[in-house]
Amino acid sequence: MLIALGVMSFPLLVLSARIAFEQVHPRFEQIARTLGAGEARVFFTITLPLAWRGILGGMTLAFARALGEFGATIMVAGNIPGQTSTLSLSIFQHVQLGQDAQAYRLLGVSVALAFLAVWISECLLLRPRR
Amino acid sequence: MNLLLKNISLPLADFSIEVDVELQSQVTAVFGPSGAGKTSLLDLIAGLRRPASAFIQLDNRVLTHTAAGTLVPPRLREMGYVPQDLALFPHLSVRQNLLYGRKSESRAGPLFSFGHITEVLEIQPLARRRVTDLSGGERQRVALARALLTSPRLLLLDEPLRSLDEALKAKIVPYLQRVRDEFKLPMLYVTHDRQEVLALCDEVLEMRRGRITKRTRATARDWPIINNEL
Repeated sequence: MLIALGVMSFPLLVLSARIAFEQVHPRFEQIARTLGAGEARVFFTITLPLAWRGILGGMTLAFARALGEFGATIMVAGNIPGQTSTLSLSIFQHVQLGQDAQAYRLLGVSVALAFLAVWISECLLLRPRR
Repeated sequence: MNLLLKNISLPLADFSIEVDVELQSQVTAVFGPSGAGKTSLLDLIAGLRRPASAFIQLDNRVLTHTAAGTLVPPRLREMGYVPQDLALFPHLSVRQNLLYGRKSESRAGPLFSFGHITEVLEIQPLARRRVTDLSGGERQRVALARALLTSPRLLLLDEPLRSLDEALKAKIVPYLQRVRDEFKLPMLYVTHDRQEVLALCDEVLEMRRGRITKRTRATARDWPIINNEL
């Protein structure tokens, strides 16, 4: 199940990371090179520290996406209660069984979690660089 | 110093940089309007851009030789670069910025020692501060010091006084003169300000749309204002 979730979220994570790296102004890296830094040093001392917020924001969004994942999970891992049941699958199950109250409760939790995830990623992505 | 810029060719968006000169003055100005290709020329010399063709040699070292496939990477060119926007690393303190390119204090010698450079540029009290807390003039001096602390053989300055008002420019020019006279470093000074050229430079290359259109000594008499250029 984790593999299914990982696979579905991975492209989004890679995309966010790549965008974060690209948003580091190239001048910083260029000047670091003129100051004698090799590529590895440029990456770890300049690119990564300036991009980490963007990467973390991307990871949070990837998590939010995984939260909503339904199709891949149910196909790959089934829906064994207590073992491979995710929030989305549980909601589905409750609705199927007519247990609306439980479904709504889990829905509330999902919405709150998603909201929290997006809010955190916005904080990370929008906070001005020091 | 002897800087050979032979058969330099770099196509840009609107025109091509075509330069073929040999420079021997201590401070050479590259003077021209925005978009003339001055920054790109500095980037080529620093090894930050790959030319279509070029032969670049500093003293006895060949740095770029496209025909032979030689392109020495920027970190091995021993050049100090002060870019237009200074590019002070925002996540590092002033001191960390200054020491970023520093290899070893003992190899630097007394002229390029940390103490001497920070003294000449009067930035000793700034060491612990964050880069974002500095004033415009302080940032300029820190960027200059950071380049000097690598003990470079050539200093490349891209419009160092561009974003400063007249009062601040007047304050920084003496520092540049001090750097010129104390460290005796060869300098390539890009600017579109005539006064800076006259105050700091020995020779001036006028650059327009990628080409050197004029070359003369940087004195008011040898380099008169001909038309309303800027």
